[in-house]
Amino acid sequence: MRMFKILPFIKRDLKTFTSYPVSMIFSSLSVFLTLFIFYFLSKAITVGDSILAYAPDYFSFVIIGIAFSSAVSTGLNTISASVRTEQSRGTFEMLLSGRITTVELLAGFLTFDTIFEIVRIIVILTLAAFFFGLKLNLSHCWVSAVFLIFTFLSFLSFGIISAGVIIITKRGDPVSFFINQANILFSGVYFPYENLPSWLRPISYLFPTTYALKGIRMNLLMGAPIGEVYRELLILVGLTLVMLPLSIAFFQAALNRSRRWGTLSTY
Amino acid sequence: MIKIKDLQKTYVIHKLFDGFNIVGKKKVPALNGIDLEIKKGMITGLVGPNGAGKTTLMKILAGILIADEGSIEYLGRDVVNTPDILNDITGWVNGEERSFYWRLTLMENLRFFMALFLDEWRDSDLEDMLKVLGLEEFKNRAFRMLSSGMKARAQLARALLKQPKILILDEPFTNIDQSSRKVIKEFLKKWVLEEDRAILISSHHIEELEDWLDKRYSLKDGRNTENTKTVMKGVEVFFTDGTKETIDMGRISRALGRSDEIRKCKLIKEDVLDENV
Repeated sequence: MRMFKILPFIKRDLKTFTSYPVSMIFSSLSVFLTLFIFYFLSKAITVGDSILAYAPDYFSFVIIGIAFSSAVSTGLNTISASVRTEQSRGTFEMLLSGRITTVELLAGFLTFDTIFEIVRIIVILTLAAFFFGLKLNLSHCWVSAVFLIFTFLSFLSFGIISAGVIIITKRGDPVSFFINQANILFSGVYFPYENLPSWLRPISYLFPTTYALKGIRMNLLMGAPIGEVYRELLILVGLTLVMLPLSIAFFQAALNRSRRWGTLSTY
Repeated sequence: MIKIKDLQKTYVIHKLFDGFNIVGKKKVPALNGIDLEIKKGMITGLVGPNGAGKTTLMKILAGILIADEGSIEYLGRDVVNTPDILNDITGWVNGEERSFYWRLTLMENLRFFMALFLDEWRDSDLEDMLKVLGLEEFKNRAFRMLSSGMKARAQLARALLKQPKILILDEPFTNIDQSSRKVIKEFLKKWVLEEDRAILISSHHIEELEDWLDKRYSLKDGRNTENTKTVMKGVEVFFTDGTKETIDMGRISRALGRSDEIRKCKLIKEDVLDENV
């Protein structure tokens, strides 16, 4: 992958993002609102043992869930949203006429949003720590960073598949939306997955975020070192290694199929 | 330079339902066996009504679509199934002003596409191209603020900056004023004469390009038709008293004797075999 093919996408997306200042201001303010909502919600509820196993209080529990699950949404939605936008802008065919590989194209679509999301997570955690009393244990925080990378990559695989589906069927958003909502329900974003009825709990094990949030919470809030969370990490790494190449191959096949059908620019 | 033989393309539209009817797969033929040759140093024109297959043919040559059947011979090799090679050798003006990023300036747009198209490029090449196409003073203007004519010229700049061997122009002169057209045509005439270059152009106003083209192909319903040219056969004259008279070009002066009574005239055109093509 050649970085000089990716940089123009980052510049383009940054320029486009900053050219909508009102949207920029409101999306920044929304971070504060989210923190306020969950801060006061955490004051109103009493937490049980299932939460205390991961975090000292509900606010810490839920903020980690929200901050990191948005990275999951980025991995899941960015590629398909980019394909859709490029098609409706009329630029998709022009991008494909460039001397650029499929991996470079996908990375180009993704990089700005990923950087933005990482900055967002850091801002949320910093604000929560400074203004709302979130106590983070940063002694092994690199473990959380590794968790974040592999959670993102494993969900990115689903996102790339979703984009491939969009190229072929011109519809894919319901798939991403469903996965997103199911992810929130089953993987413990707002409440521990252990609170689900026992017959639903096995579904939680199918979501990479379940392992990721468990590992990240234990690491960032309880100071757990790699030795205590390596099983969760190995599952994520395994899933990524299998799914990512498969999803890229699927996307390439979808592009080729669409070239044959003559439907690249239709949406 | 490029020889196209028996090129065929059918669009496949997958639609499960149309209203309450189950449709499934719908096939729309676009090219039904096109033969064409693009020669080095020549400007080749494509003529034909809407739906004739001109844009489909151009998209295949630009590597955006893949043909179903037939061959595209380039340097002795059939490249019909290798869109990457076609992509590499062609620069494509698709006639779509939407194919840019409207929040970016003209210069930012061209820089973005240059980085995509080429592995190495210089800003000075870009500046030179903007000068040639009369866009220099608008380079820092947001793309959405450019006029339609400027947007059309920006498309041409983008295609040329790709340093293609074959320039594919789909309706390139739409919205470009007469004087700019002349400048661009002169520039392209010189451009095509440089080593290993050719131009393929389609236009609805092909008659305006007549003296500029070296060769012309007519397409209809995805097939080659005879090489033709349109000639004026005469005029249908409608008089105020409700009568009408068809007059051939040689006898128009007869109708002019009643010129104050003419309500409207309609030109009669006919496509005839052009033996000079």
